[in-house]
Amino acid sequence: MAKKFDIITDLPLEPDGILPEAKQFTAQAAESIVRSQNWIRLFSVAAILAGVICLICSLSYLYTLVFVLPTLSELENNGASTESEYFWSSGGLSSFLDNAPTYVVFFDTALSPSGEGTQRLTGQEAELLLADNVGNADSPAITQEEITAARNEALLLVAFYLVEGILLMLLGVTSWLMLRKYQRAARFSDTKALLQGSVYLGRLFLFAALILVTFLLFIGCAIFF
Amino acid sequence: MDKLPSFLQKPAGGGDAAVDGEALAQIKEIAFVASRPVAKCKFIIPLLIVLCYIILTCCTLVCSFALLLATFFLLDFFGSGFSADYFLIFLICSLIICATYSLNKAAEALVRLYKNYTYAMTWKSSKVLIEANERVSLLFKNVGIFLLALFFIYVFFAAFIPSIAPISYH
Repeated sequence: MAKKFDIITDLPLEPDGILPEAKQFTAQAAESIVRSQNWIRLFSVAAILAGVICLICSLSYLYTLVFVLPTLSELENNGASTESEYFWSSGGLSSFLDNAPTYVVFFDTALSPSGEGTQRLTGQEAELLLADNVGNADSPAITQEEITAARNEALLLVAFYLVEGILLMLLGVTSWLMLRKYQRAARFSDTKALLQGSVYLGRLFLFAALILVTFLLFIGCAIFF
Repeated sequence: MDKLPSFLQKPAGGGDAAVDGEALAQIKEIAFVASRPVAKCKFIIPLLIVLCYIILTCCTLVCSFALLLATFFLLDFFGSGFSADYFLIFLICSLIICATYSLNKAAEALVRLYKNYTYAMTWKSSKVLIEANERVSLLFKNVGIFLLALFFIYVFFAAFIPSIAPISYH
């Protein structure tokens, strides 16, 4: 089996044997990229920041998937009896959904176990209303079917944000490394650095394509489901 | 070489005539190896170009709508006087147009960049490699402007419609 060509280790040129004209060409080729270094830095920072935001979103949906939806399912089956249940389930959901319908849904949920109407919440069990208020809930996912649908959606979102976050961070780091290599090539006429920069540039396109493909796939899944 | 696409056909008189001998051979070798990793992305870069043009088509549709909206608000502005909302809508419309234009330029730069790198690898042309690297600069500049415009569109939309900004109501 033939050995795979490695662009970094199997360079056809020895660093010491490079002529001044070739070194000058190296610096010139790298300089044409280094000229836009501010834009490349901006791009790197934006990509890393977007990646971090995606990972935070992924964690948020993971929290919903693991803690909030089972709690909500429990509420649906057995009813909620304590303030803490209302506080954590409503607060958890309001962290990623709209507040007003969540409040209304939990208000109704708080009413339903005893069926004694609003008076129950404004009287002795006013703490339930307070917990709902403080947690300020969301998510009209109150029937079992809606909870299942919300679980599927959360699962999809966790996967999407995780993949996008990792790819965006890789994109940012790669573009930063690429700039470093080209800067070195331009400053020291380092041919090896120029070639390494080119390798990073190739990887950059790969990550960008993967990000766009996963994004379109996610939109397709969201429309289909 | 007859089977090469038209953009890879070597022009008459083209080449690297500035230096001769061993230096020229080294320069050609560097041009070949430096353009190889990008030119080898034969599937990825065309896919990226197609995706860019799909997004560009969507952006153009949004841009046309933004222009229409801006015209209506401009007409209303002359009728009823200044309002901060009109100013915000104008800013958003301008940013959408700016984002679409920069994405168009970025997609164009990507197409030329791919052609140049493929040419540089095929013919070991140092001149075309430098030209290709200049396209990389252009690509990053336009993508940077696109990202900035997207960011400001989000910020202004958040100011205009508070419910789309999660931070504003939590």
